[in-house]
Amino acid sequence: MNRSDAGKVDYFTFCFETTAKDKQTKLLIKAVKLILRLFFDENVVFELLLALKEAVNNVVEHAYRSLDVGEPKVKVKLQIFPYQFILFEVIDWGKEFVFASNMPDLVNSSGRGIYIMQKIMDKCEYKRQDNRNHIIMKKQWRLNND
Amino acid sequence: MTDMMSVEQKQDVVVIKIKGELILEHVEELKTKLFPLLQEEYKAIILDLSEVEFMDSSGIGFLVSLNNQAKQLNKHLLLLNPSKEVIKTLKLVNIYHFFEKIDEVDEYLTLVE
Repeated sequence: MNRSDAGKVDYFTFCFETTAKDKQTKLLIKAVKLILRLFFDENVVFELLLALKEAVNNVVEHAYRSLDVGEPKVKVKLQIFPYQFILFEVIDWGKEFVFASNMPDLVNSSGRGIYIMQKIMDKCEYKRQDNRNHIIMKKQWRLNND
Repeated sequence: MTDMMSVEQKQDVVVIKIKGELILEHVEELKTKLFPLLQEEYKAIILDLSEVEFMDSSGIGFLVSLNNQAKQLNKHLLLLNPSKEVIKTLKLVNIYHFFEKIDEVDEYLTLVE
């Protein structure tokens, strides 16, 4: 996509929704990867996917733990504003959680997910709204990491 | 998933090659397969990560707990040729220096001879 094409559209919105389980979310991430590849080089795609994977892992691992819900769901909204920025919104209907970004000790085997999201993205916020969790992540437009 | 791991024994060292994605979905199975190997007579466990294409924080956690466990048992855990994706992810969380790395299995074998 070149700059003149980009001028013709304001933005793209892609929405994905699936069961918040391993197999389904793995496929969801792969679908997002295909879209990101249309816009960014492999290094940028790698970083964006890692941030998204951490947000989705958080839902799969924690949001619905010990909750009696029929079908745990996760929704991912991806918005691309060419030459401006990219937005991810990850939504679940599970329980509220603490969005702590403290980096654990070297020997700790967990707790690095949120730190990774914040390190990769320019902005990362959590909000609880209408019994839903929203993680919103924004990154300024970079075609590559050079 | 089973195809993503192969095990090879070289002298008193076990070399485990992990391919593909070292992520949440695979970590439990890897733990079940690898942790019992730590209890065996091997002096060192070498993890070949040259063909790992993607790793998340669960993958990092897996490497950290394997390393902790190895240390407790007085064994070495070495990362063999980690891929650029693995290096990038470990550096992102400032933990790359925490692991011993080698370029070839012989490098370790020569070291302990």
